[in-house]
Amino acid sequence: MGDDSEESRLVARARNGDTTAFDSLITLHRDRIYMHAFQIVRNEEDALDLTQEIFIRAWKALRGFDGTATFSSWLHRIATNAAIDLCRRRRTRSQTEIGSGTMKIDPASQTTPSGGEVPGLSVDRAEIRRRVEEAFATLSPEHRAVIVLKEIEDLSYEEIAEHLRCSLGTVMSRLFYARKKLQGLLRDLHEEL
Amino acid sequence: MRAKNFRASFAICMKNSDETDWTVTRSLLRKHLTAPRLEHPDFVNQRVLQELERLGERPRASAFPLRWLAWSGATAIVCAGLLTLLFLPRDAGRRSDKDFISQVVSARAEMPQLSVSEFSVPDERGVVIWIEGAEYIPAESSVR
Repeated sequence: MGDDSEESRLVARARNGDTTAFDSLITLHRDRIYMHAFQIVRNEEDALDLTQEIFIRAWKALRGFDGTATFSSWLHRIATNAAIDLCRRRRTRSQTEIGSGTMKIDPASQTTPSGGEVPGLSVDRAEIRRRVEEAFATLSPEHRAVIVLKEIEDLSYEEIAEHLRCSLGTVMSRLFYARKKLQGLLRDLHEEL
Repeated sequence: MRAKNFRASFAICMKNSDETDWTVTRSLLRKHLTAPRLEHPDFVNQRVLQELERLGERPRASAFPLRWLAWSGATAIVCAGLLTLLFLPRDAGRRSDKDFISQVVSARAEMPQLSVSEFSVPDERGVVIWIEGAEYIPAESSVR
């Protein structure tokens, strides 16, 4: 409650051009925004650039923030859209550069803390992670976003629809096709669990 | 009846199997689609603030909101009215109609079949000679 009112004050000051207040807002949200962006783009460098871009976009659009949603969810909405845009740009570029069929997989598994696993088992886990990353990379940017919002961040259908500014039916349909595709690609891994 | 029951229970089994299947896939995603922590968080603040300084931008309202458009439209109309009143000449300098009417000053021709009229415009900028009834003007004829 206190945090919310503190955040509201910071937002109000930032709306009037106070960069110090905006700096505090960045500090409050940067980790979650970075992780959210990373979940969709699956690349550290892109996620870092995207985090900066998201805050710059937020600053420019701050006067349009009417306070009906929380600042955090407003920022997350900007982040999701920016991540989808980036994935689309990357996808278009990779299609024109490489041609259809091949897919570049980002080595995100290297960036995740290993947590001191048993060596023999960690090879298998690394392989599973690679397969999961690979399967996720085959999804369209919109499908990635709904999977992240629903399955990883546990948002409701209504919240996702509001977040992506699309209908409930669109969310359900995207989720259905994304799940189907992932299930198909990862079914053989079920025995590994 | 039995076939119908079988189909219904088969559908339920398939649905349950799909759900179980998805639960497993979901746990795979949750376990392996992890995100790393931001390594140098202050770097983000620094870069964003630098960029804002470079742009020299303040947060701005959505481009051309309706109220802004309405006010600027009304202001433009008022300005146009004022400018018209101030700068557009009304009576001053207006010339009377007769200034634009030319008049016949002389009409004389040596040949009877010719009619020659000479017009003069008020500013004396020029004289128009109007010749009628001649297919050509003979060299020896002169118009005075």
